[in-house]
Amino acid sequence: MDLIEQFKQQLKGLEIKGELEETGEVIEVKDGVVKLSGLKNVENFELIEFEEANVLGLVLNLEEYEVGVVVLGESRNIKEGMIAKRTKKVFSIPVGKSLLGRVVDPLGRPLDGKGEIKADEYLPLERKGPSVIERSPVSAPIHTGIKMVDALIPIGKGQRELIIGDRSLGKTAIAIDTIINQKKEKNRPYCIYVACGQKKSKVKRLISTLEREGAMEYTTVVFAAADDPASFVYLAPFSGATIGEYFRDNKEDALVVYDDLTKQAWAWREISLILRRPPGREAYPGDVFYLHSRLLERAAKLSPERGGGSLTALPIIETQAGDISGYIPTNVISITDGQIFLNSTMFKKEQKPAIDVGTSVSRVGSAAQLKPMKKVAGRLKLDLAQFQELERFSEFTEELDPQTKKTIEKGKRIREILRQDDLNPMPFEKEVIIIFAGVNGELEDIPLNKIKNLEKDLIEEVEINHKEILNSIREKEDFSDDDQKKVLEIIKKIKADYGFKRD
Amino acid sequence: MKKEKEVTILARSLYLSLKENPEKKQEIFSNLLKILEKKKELLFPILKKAENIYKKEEIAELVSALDFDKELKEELEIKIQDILKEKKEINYSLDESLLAGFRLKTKDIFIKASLKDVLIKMKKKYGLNRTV
Repeated sequence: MDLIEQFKQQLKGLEIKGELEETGEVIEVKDGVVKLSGLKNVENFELIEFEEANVLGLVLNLEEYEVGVVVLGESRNIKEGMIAKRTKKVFSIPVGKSLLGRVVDPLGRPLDGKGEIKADEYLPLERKGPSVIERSPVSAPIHTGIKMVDALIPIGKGQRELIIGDRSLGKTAIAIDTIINQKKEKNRPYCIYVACGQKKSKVKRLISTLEREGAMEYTTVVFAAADDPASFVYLAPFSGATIGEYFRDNKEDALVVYDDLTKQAWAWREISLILRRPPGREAYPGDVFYLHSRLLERAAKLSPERGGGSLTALPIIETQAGDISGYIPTNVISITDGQIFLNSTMFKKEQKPAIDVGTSVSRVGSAAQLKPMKKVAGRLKLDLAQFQELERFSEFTEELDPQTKKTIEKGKRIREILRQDDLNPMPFEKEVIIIFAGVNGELEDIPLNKIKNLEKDLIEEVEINHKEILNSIREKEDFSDDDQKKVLEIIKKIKADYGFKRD
Repeated sequence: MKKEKEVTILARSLYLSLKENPEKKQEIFSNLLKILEKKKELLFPILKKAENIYKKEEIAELVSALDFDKELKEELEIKIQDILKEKKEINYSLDESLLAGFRLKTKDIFIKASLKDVLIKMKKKYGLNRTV
């Protein structure tokens, strides 16, 4: 009886009155894009609903007699003559801490079978980035755990650093290492990994890796699969940005990886061609630059007055045959605050990560480096650059003076020290020790194949017997002269154990 | 594709011309024939499309559960003109499944004022497929 009484109470509040809906009728359905007549007062980027097909659409084209709508889902059940009605709402997705550890689609619906998501808030997908006044300069670092990046191409909180290279060179690996490395960082940022148009098997493997490394607890995965409608692939990065902005605007830090924006550009090209927008260079629509610029401008470091939160972006672009002068790569390079180039020649020579230090840059630079790293990495780029010049020179002549030979040998060892397997990010304090050893340790007399062993032994020795050095670097952000001397002594001892002594 | 676009443009132009200048029917049709000089096979599709456009733009479909009497129809027509802000021809039809009330459909508006719609709304709100 209680149930009946409750139902009666609910029905009391029900108003029986007519409803006026603003509607349109489907004229044409083609490749995930629907043309409608009617919808006189509909606004751009408004959501409309195909009630009979139980699917939503996003208004993208407003023409004199027609409205172009991209379907947010399967367009199979949409037929000519079907009614579509205005929702009078802008496209919004759920955001908040309830999304951490979850895998969602670009509409915010869960894909991992772990139940409904109870959102803290709903934010619109399209939002304007913070103004100039609301920002502050990038000063705090984001440590990727990759020695080469943290020493030579440092990334800061609020920066946009592009990862660019051909397929299968390790672009995603750099992004995943960065996410995994945040596990032990103090002031850890929340991570969002946006998979646009990726294979389901690859993303499944990735999620398993993140779970295994314990990174999923602070990460959200936004997934638009390769077989999803183009609208999903187009919207996925915006969903990721919106989820990250929630943390940024609530005084926290967030990191978003867009993997990859090339596929988003392809999806936008597909949608624009179906909407009959005039094609430009390489058949991309005229606003493909704006597509990426408005997405990436949302990554920022906010001023203290706005809470001091940050959103760091790591967009990924795939090039074809190393051509970085292509349309999309040049666009995104001009938008971001630096790029990490992956080189296929280095990859084939097993120099991993295959980062071309000469052409990679971080426009924030040492402003985003902590003092200990600044101290040890200062000379590193110069040493490497000198070595690369002399290495080329040495290919043409065998007669080299002792100084040149020493520089070349040192460079080879530095290059060996900077090698790192993927899924093996190194904590910041250990990176400092290793790079210091490479630059100042005089390792020229150690054979190349023993350098990795030396690295391992050095870290072990410092961890077991000189933990205070690591603590000092991590907690006090200081690598004092005394600590440096201690490390040099340890290196000498290890060299002696290997049977190599300096005369 | 090009022919289709041509037919659509000419059909809409024909409809708009006839709407604005109903007294110049003869002239409009003779101009159309001149334009279609070598493409007279498009005439019939253009006329058909123009008729469809006219039906969509000018005619409102009113489906009711019961037949309305003359007085009620006049009252309804005044009210509809108020809402739509323009005069439209109303096409009446019956559908007993609406139980009571009516539905009115034009190109831009769909008014759901039937008991069936109220029940559908209740089903959506309180039904088994409701998400908590």
